[in-house]
Amino acid sequence: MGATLLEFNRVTKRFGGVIAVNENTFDIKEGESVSLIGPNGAGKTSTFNCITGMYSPDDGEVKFCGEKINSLKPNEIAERGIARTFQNLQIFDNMTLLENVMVSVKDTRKTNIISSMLRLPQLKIKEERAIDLGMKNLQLVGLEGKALSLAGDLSFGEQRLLEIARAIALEPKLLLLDEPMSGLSVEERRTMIQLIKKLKKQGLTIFLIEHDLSTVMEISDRIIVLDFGSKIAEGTPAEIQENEKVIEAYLGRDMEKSYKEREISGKAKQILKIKDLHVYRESIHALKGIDLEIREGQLSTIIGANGAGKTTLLNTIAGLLPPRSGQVILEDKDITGFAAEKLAYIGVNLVPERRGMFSELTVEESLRLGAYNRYTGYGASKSVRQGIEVDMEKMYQLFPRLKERRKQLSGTLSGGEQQMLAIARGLMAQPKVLMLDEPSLGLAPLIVEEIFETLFQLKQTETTIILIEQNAKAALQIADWGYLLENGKIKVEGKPSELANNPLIHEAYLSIH
Amino acid sequence: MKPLSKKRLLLVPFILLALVAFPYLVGTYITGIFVLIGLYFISTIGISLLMGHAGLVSLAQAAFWGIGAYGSGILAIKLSLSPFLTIPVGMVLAGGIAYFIGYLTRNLQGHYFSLATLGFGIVINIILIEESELTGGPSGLIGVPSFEIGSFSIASDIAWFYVVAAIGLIVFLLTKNLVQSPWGRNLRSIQDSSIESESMGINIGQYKLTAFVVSAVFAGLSGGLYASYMSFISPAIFSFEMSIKFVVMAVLGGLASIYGSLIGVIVVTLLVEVLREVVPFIFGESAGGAVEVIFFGLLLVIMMIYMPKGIMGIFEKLSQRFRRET
Repeated sequence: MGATLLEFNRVTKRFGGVIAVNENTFDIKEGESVSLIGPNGAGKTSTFNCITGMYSPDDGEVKFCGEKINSLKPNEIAERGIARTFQNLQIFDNMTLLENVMVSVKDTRKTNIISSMLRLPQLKIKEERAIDLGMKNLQLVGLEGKALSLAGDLSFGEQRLLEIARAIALEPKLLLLDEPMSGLSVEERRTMIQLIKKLKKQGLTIFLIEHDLSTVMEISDRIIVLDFGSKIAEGTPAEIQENEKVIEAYLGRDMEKSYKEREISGKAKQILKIKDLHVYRESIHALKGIDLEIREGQLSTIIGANGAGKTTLLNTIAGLLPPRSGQVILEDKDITGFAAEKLAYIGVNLVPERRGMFSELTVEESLRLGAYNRYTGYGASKSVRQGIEVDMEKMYQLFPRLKERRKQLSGTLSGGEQQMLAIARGLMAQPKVLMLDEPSLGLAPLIVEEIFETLFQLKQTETTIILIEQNAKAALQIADWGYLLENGKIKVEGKPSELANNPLIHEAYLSIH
Repeated sequence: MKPLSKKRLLLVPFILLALVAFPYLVGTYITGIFVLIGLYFISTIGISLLMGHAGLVSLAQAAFWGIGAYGSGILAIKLSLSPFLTIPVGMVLAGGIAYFIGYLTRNLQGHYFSLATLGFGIVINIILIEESELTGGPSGLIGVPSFEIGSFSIASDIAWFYVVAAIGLIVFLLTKNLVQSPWGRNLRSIQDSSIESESMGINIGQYKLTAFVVSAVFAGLSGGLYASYMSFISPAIFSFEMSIKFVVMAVLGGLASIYGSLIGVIVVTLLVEVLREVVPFIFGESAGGAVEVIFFGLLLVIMMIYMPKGIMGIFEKLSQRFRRET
């Protein structure tokens, strides 16, 4: 290994009360390829943003080639030799592939506007060089045949390759890749891995964020693991795979309190039925034939690794995404393709990932808004209004902290309180089916325990709940029935106590195949 | 950057010939309208560069147009300087003020930038009205001189047509080169994904600021010429409505295309002439201005919904269909 290229020295980045990056220290040496992994919300992309100048760290020092780059702007950092790609693709849709790549050729930025207007000859020489370099980089990723097509017309996988070609055209010393595998088919993944290996062989230093751990194991010299913004482990792939803390970060922790699984009566009637559901996101086949039967009054949980299709499934049920084929049936009524607001009205309610707060409304206003579907046309009758008041009181009993904060703006609540409010708001709609998308996301273990305790209480009130969780262990502790989702398919379902010990879960989460 | 192909090169003499013959074919009235079209075109190219390539919507183009017109006009009248000198001064003035405003607003995104320019445009208009010692106040500035070359003064509409056509052609070619250069490509990339452009090392603030200044300089040039051509200017001309009209012209033609700007300017200017004839007949003598505002407002809404790529977009679609069929 060569000299130290990037130094990250006790770097901290806060957003209000949330600490996205917490006193992190690591370094990257020339020629290395290092992976940054960790569960959702661990601070991986924030770390990248601190390196590339998208965020400026609140504390600590970022050094590149010995120079402090903390306060530099993204373009200045790029000029110094750090190129990056983005998790959610950032390509220039309305430009050709060649133009896309040529934008990052450094020479083109040293042209001034007067010589551009007069089309001076020196410009032509620079432009020819840029075309050469652009074509060379397109060749490297195998897209030279489409150099003159519009980038917006490419498939998703090709766009990912284009992004890398463009990043390399910057001739960087360090290449940051943010989830290069996400959304790719098995075949495209092979191509991508080959490409990354090729770049590594050419001596490029690579730092990548990736959820697909099998890829990470294959291409990394070293792995850094983050959880809650802090580094929890660092080592070779083999060391990381065995590390207890890492396994815990991914699979979640067993909660302090133990819950007794209740006997589920086979008599409970089916309330929601999903038949052979297929959903595409852009060109990606996200759900590949899902069959589910949710019984009334039960808490069902769907667990699975990042990118398995959990959120896609909930969003499709909630009417936010259109299914390609298949059926969603609520109490014998086909509700496939209903608009989201109509579904919310008839009692299919979603508490979205990241909570969807109305930051400018108070807690009380948010709760009332949750009951929106209970008001009819011209205001509500007296009995309905009384019913809403009674339910508000119930919510305050369920979440005493919300009562203390009734008059506070919801945007100023802590993460845990916001999650409580989101759940309470969902309940105010008197849902037939309440869907919760990762309520534990980004919350500290103690708060997670508190929220799961409340969900357990809710279960006793015969509310039908579908809970999606990456925190598999906690979810399985309180659920009546569990499903494991992997790559858009239900891999296995069963009683939570049986599922929890199923080796398939371990494999799905840590991508050990 | 592709040099003109041989076929295209052959077209050049025809275009020049058509321009020379044009005034004699259509008569002075139409020629006069086309002088205005040429002047509007020079200013609209600036808006097209801003909106179509940098993704910025400026509602102050008429203000920069006014700065050019008044800057040049005041100097020419008070100091008896030739427009050859005063028009470049007006351009520099417009560019300098744009640099200042652009620098202040460099961190504003989207609508906020537009609102800032809207406010600036209104402030300039008020200054033109209130600083009456300098600007002549609401009644305007009278007697802005025209160009004189030796003893020959450019006064007739036909002479002006040639002047404006020549300058318009130069501005058009400069902008075309600019848009097709690496600089233009980098500017367009910002519109697609500014995060990415920044990560590729592009100083997006600098690029946007430069585009804003260029656009204002073109407006200043057009304004200076306008003052000399009309010989009379008043604040009412450089109003918010005119800024909107420049935007409509650019949108109607097709934002990303400088040919589109020309088409947009021609269509809008001719429509104004037609409206001027037709509206009093239908809505009565006093209705003119209000109907025009409503008409162009509606036109803008309809364009945005049904043909966001403007008239050039329709041409594009037609030529694609034609190619597919043959």
